[in-house]
Amino acid sequence: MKILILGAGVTGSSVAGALANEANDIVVIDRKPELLSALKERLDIATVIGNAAHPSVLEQAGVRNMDIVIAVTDRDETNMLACQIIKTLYSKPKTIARVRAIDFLKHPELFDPNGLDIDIVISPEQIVMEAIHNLIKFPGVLHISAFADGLVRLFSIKAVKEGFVTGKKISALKEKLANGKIRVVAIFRQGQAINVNGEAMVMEGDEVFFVSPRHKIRKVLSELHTLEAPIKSIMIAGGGHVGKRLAMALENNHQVKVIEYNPVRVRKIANELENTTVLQGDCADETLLVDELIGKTDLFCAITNNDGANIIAAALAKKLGVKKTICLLNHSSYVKLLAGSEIDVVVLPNQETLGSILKHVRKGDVARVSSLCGGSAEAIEAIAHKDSKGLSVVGQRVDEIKLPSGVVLGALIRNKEVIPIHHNTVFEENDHIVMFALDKKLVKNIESYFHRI
Amino acid sequence: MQTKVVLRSIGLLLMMFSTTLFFPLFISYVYQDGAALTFWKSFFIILASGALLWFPLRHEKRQLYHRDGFLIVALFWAILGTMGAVPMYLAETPNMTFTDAVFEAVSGFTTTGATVLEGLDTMPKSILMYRQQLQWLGGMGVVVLALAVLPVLGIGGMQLFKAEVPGPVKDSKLTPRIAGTAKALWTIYLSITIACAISYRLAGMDWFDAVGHSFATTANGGYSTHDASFGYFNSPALDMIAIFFMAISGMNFAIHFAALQRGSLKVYKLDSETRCYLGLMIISGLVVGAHLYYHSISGFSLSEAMIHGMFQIVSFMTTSGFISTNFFQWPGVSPILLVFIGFIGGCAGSTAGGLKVIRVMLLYKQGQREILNLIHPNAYIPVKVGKEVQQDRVISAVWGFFGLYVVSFVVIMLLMMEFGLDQVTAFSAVAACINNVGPGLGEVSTSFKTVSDGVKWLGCIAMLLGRLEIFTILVLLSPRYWRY
Repeated sequence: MKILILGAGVTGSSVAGALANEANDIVVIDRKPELLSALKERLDIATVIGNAAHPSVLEQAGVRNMDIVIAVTDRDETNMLACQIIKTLYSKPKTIARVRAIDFLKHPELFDPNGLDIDIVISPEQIVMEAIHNLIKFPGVLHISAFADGLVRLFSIKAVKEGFVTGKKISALKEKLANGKIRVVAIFRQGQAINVNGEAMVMEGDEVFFVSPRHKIRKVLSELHTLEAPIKSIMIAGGGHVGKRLAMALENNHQVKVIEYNPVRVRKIANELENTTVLQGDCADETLLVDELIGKTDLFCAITNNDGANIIAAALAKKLGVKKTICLLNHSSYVKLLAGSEIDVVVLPNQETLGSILKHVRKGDVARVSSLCGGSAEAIEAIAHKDSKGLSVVGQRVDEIKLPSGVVLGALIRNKEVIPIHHNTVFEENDHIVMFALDKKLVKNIESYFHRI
Repeated sequence: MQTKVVLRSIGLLLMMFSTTLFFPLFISYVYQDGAALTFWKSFFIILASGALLWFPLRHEKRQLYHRDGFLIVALFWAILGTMGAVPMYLAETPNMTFTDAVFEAVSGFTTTGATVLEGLDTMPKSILMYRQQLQWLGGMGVVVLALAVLPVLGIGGMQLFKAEVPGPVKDSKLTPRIAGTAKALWTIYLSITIACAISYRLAGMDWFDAVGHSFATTANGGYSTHDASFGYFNSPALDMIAIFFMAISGMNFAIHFAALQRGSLKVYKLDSETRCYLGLMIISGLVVGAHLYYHSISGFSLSEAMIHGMFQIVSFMTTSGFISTNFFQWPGVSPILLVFIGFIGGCAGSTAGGLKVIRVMLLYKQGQREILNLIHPNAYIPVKVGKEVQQDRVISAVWGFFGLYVVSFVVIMLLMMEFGLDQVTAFSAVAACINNVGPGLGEVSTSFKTVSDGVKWLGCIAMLLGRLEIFTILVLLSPRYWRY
């Protein structure tokens, strides 16, 4: 596939990185030559220097033959305008634009064909914010993402001694797990995936991934003994876009404090937020944290744009007695550093954003992709379609399909209802199937089963 | 200072004012009350003095400076107080001293409604209507009226507008042009007045009373054509109409304008000052009503108690000062509560006086902010009204205003006590004057007739300070103002 990426910032380059490995032709446009040369060094891509909204620059990047344009420059206006220009002049490419400002997002009709005509609008801050918000809604959960319009959720927990799965074989759990409606799709033991089949056993300390209908989550979590006391007081370190939106989403039902270093930004967000206490200071300042009663706080979210500061602040907060910490990391390689540390949950915004972009880039009827575990594993939602060559899964029984090892079926959604998966279940046209792939190289394998030709 | 331009403007304003005497003149001919000659004389005196100022300076058409606005407005209100007194001073009934006439005129213009007259029911109709009309002119502001109808004054109109319009933020225009804003304000004002007059007529007043009371109601003035004020009619329907129109006139006219323009009532719900104003009004009205009912000495039935409680609260909060019953004989805390609710007053940009709800809200929020800042020393806490962040400049101006308000209050109160008033009377008299409420407690609960001349003059000063919101007058007392 031919993909044009506008903007070589953090998102732009990680999208380029993720897609460059999948046999796509990628061109990146940015105004800053130094960003582009660094990217070119690392990846096998072409680059063009210039304003991403100028037709001449787009032309130079070969926009005519592109299949997809992903506009992720740091300015909303450029992204939206570039997409509109491309639609007006070339009309062929599918356009994806990143829009951050809530002012634009509040008016979805702006992006209709009558308006700016952008095919897909993504808002990474919103995605990251929702990811963190979900973690707050389900305390004790390490990761959570939604599939099939929110009908099904994928979530992971750390197995504790008292939980009913601990020390049991998966095959013995059917009864407990709502007769197959909830499935264990992956088990990670000390960072390593172990094979999930009926004989696999969950040990204390494992990270276990479940796929479950939405309404069952709370019940399962409480039986797993991981549902912690609801979170009431939250301290957010970093008042950037994510911090501000998170505070906005939480401030009416929780006690929220935001710590931000830049006095100008402090004023700006304090003016926009209503029930949040906005503090000016360093989020790793012990006196400030102690004065603001960190010891009585339920959750500390370190979400500045500096990974180092996030790690330090989260570790410090934990030392000072906060019940739980969430740490945001832009560089997924740091995740390895945190294994065994006191930080409870790590959120990787690039993965979240990447997931939302990837699902539009992937071939076939693959509806939603979620990048997990530092990008190495992926959860996929695919739609089953008949095809002439008989490669499709439609009409086949579950035990007839030879999925590569490392791919696990998570959930089957038929007509907006979750159907339990047994070995003799037969797939039908338009079934949504949620799968978990331990290695993202397997994704291409899966795609072949669902590709409409 | 551009003395010539200032004097020329005042001359023009006086000439304009002289024409307003035609309405009482007309009333005089209709009712044949024998006061026509008085009004003809007054008309020529005012017109002549205006012309005398204007004619020699008629070519002085320079742009007004920022500071000229204060002088024109303050001077004009002072001169108007004196000139407005002319018809009452000249009239045979009532036979008034100069001091009394000025007090009555200033009280009228500033929409205070404190009176020195008794026996209103037997007075010439034209004089009565003249008093009502003074209040109506003062309600929205004579200078604002002049800006609406006299294009000559348009030069530097913003300075004049700012000096006369009440509220902490004065440069909010309704339309891009100042003359358009003034016209819009007066159009709304006139429409409310007409609606009010018709409602009164339908509920049982005769046309004379209906028009007269509608003038005083929309202006939140408080003059009545009867000694017993609204108590004369003894009609719950009229009381409720009065409550409604006083409350409407106590709201910001910019909000009325916005509601008209967008054609929806949501505007009122969204404005936090209006919400706070109505909330305070309804809660304290119910409290006073319940209080009256449970202290059975007042002998009211539940509905009577509620209507009287609400009427008196609305009347004091909008600083009208109408009286539906002898509130000063009410038991317990009620009369004092009424005086204090007059301090809060109506909304900014309304015809009501007092500190204004928005200022009280800002003071409260500032206090709240200080407490929060003690708990979170590192926090930045903006002061917000609704979702709008208030500039620190506005907040400190409100504090300055409040400080000067208290100082003026204390000084005038001490001086009044020196002139022989007892403490309760002095306190309530100053509150009645500076908040433009009208009735006080003790000796001044119905009229200022019995107090000494010194107290009356102090009252005039307090009324002007209150109506022009302190700064416009006090700025003239600063030596820096007169230096270049």
